[in-house]
Amino acid sequence: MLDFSFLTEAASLGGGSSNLHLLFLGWQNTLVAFLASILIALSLGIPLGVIRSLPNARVASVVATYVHVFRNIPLLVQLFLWFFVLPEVVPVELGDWLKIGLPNPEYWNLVVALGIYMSARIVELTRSGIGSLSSGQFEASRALGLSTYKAYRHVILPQALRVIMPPLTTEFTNCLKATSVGLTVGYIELTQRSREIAEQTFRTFEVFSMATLGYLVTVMLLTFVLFGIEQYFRIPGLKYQG
Amino acid sequence: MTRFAIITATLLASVSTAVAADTPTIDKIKERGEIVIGHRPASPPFGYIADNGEITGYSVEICKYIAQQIKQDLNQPDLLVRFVTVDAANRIPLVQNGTIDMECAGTGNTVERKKVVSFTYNTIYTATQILVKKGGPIKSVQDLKGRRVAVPQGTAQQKMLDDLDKKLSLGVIPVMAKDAAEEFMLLQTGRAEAAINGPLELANHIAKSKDPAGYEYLPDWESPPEQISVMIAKGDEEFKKLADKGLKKMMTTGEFTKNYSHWFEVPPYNLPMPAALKAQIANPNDKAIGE
Repeated sequence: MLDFSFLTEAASLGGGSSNLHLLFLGWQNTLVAFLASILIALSLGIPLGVIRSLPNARVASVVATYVHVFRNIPLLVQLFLWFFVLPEVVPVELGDWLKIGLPNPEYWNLVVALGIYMSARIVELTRSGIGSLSSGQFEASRALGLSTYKAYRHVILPQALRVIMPPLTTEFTNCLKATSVGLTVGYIELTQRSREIAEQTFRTFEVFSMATLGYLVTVMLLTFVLFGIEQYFRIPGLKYQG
Repeated sequence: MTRFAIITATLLASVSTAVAADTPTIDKIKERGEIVIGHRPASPPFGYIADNGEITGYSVEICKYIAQQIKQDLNQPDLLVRFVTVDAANRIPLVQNGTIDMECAGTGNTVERKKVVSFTYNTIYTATQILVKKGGPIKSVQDLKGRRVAVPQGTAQQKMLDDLDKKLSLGVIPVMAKDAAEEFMLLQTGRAEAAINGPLELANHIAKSKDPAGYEYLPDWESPPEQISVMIAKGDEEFKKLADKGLKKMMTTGEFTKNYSHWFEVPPYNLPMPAALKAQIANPNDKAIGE
């Protein structure tokens, strides 16, 4: 019943040599979008998470608003806002640049929307990681004469980042899978490629089995790598207080 | 790893049983007590949800008529008609696995699709064209070089644009849209500089836009004629006969012509019935594009 011979047949659409090649290119796009998004998410999320944990209530509340806005609006809606609404509300020249001037606008839209959405989640993760440490840690650092910056740099963050590794792995895998929303703005990633090939070859179940396998293997490898990192940085014998 | 392989194999096996479901459609209709129609909620004039919530459209009304006839022919007036939303990407698998009995939208009757599904008599004729903004830089197909062209994903149009691109080495950048509405929005907002689709699908969106006179079709390209038809499961001759019988009755009683006038002899289309469709009413066939 299942027939995978279409995979090696000539590509049903332009851009690749065979259907398998097309799927591979889609998978590559998924991976590229994931890496860029997670990079944005981490470089925004961790610093903002630190700020959110600081005693300065005003700054912390600004970050809290950021988290509420970007974490509570569905990702798909955010993507549409970035893609369809933003270019219409900014000055015309900038809007036109966003729509046509920018090379590969679908990619940048997806990466920015997904990166910021994920960053809001990582803010909360970082904050709770810091919050899980006993407050004596920070107080002792200060008593030893470390500045707030140095206390975070040498005492708080090295522990907090280790604490959040397991849930961070979940966020990584979420981010990888969430790249598939890119198809709604026309970013040709693995799911989108599968749909296209399915419509041209009608081998829907076979194509999506391949896509499933692609996601499964990638997520498993990702989890494996992150678990390795987690183990490598683990402090032997140290148990974190929950 | 072995356990993983077993799980995968089990999953695949359950999928293939789903594919293999070949209960004749009529038995299934009797058993379920309902006729299931697949429709597209945002593809006027073929199918859409009206302001009052009613599912209607040119193709949907044809299917409602066919369903009515099936009830009579099966002598089961109590059969319900249930609508299921489909899209370009899932319509074929849903017909194949029997989730829907008839798909009633603007689906083209093509030779490739006929390998996996079946079609009733053709219900309308159209052709794909390329829409651009009037007074813009694109005046002919050659001007499409390196331009961004909106294309409905998972459709015959995607393949057409691909072929055209290869034939003329245009280096077109396709911009994927989920349906004609989104495709037109891409053109309107300037995200794409052209849009490829059937004029019947696009007309409504052009008419409702801020500047209906600001668009035109490229004069030097049109696809070969495309037949649109009701999609049904392959290899179920009995059901095809039943559906075709209902459709033929619609044609001979004049209901079909009435339905056509209701949808197409009004603005924004104002299309009198083409000779090809008149010939189809006189002598219905289910030939695919290029067959």
